Amino acid sequence: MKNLKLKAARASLDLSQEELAGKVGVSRQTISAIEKGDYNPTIKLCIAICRELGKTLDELFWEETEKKDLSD
Amino acid sequence: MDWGLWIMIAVVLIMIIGMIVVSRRDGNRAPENEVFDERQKMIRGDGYKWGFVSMICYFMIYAIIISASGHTIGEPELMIFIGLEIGLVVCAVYCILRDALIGVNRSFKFVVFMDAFCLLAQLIGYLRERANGALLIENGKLTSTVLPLSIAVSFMIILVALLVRRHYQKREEQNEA
Repeated sequence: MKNLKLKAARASLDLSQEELAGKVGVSRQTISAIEKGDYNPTIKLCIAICRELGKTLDELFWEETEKKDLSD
Repeated sequence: MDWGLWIMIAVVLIMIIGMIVVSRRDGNRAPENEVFDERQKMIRGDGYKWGFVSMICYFMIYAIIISASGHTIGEPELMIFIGLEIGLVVCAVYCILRDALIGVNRSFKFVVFMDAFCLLAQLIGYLRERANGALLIENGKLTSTVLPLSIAVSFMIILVALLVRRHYQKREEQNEA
């Protein structure tokens, strides 16, 4: 699944994939793979990305699932 | 005892010592000096796996051919080296196509230059041997003259993979911009 929240957060700071990759010490392709949903980063990299973008883990990496109505 | 066997034992010993030295050095290395990021390391692991599997498959097929036909295709050293080459090329191409051959902040141009240099050196070596009258096949078997040619082909495959991947990367970068 694509990580559009990460892409949006990066774009809001006017950072390119290359620049964000340089800040967190990975290759541009790794950031691209995370955004496309082709790679699940480790918690260490997630935290590094969140710190650089000024977001929390929930804001960037938590996927909301549809809540089932338990009353049924 | 045959010199060839001693040379092979010496080469294996040197490789084992080399691997121990490299693994000890890498084990002591600080994380900030790492060349590859976490995704690249994972892919490189897969690359080594596929390289190893390809090499094993090659040796199995080669062993079956020898036992079925009763004669070898080429000089034993050459056929072993070709097996190693196949493993290395599969590993390299797998890593290139998934952007894991060149480390973070490492120069793509330098890698291409080194590859092209090695390719040319092997090609010149091959052409010189051929000019001196060396044959590719002698008594129905491949000779060691094939070796520089096969290495040149390996570097050529890697070079093409590098350039193809670069082309797609540039398109990706343009789309991102």
